[in-house]
Amino acid sequence: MVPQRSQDPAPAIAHVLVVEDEVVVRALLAEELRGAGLTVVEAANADEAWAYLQAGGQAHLMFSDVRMPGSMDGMELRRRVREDFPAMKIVMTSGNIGPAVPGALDGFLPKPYSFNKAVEVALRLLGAEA
Amino acid sequence: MEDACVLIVESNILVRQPLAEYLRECGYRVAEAANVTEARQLLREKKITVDIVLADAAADQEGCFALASWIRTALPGVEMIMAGTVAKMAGDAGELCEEGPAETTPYDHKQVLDRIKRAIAARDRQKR
Repeated sequence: MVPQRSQDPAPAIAHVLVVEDEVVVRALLAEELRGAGLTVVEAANADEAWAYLQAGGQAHLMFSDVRMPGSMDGMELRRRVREDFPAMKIVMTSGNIGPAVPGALDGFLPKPYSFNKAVEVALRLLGAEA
Repeated sequence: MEDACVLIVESNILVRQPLAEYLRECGYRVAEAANVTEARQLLREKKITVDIVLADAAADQEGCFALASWIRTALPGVEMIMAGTVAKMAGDAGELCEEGPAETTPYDHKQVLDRIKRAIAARDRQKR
């Protein structure tokens, strides 16, 4: 039997792009954000995220790690997103660098961060109530 | 079965994301892994309970078969559906996965959904 959807689902209008190479962190953060009624797209690295956006994929907010394997890191992704998708909110996450990340950011979450905090930040930036 | 979780193992986000979204629309919980290593990590850590794994062997056939073998040994309650375009793979997958032969790619979302339903139903019958 196919499981039933929640009786009272929150409107899943806002799309959040989670870019994180630690799969467990990515999956758990994505679950929390979905639980808050958001539509979440999971990208395993910056290259995947960029491929998704270049293909016309929607995202109103991006959570991105800084250090990731691939042809670009989170900072390069942030630069490209700022340039091509200026309306998108950006929150960077890192365990290695402080909040003084160069360039404009809408938020910074030092790792390890609580998923509740991430959801709160996402809802605030998307203009929803936590 | 309520709240079943499907783990999609697929290296291409443009394939993985629409399939994941479709299955979520159908009421499943869906976890996503970009490769076999990520899939193993998710399954090993058990922070997300997975019922069925759908893995595309096209990018990493050897790794995918190793994953299927490991799941069969270490996680007997977890079903696996393998997907890919390699003809020979179908027979091999049939030996390792409960519901062989392999699913073909590109995915037909409805066909994948039917396959998942059948695999979960078969597993639940076995449990009884």
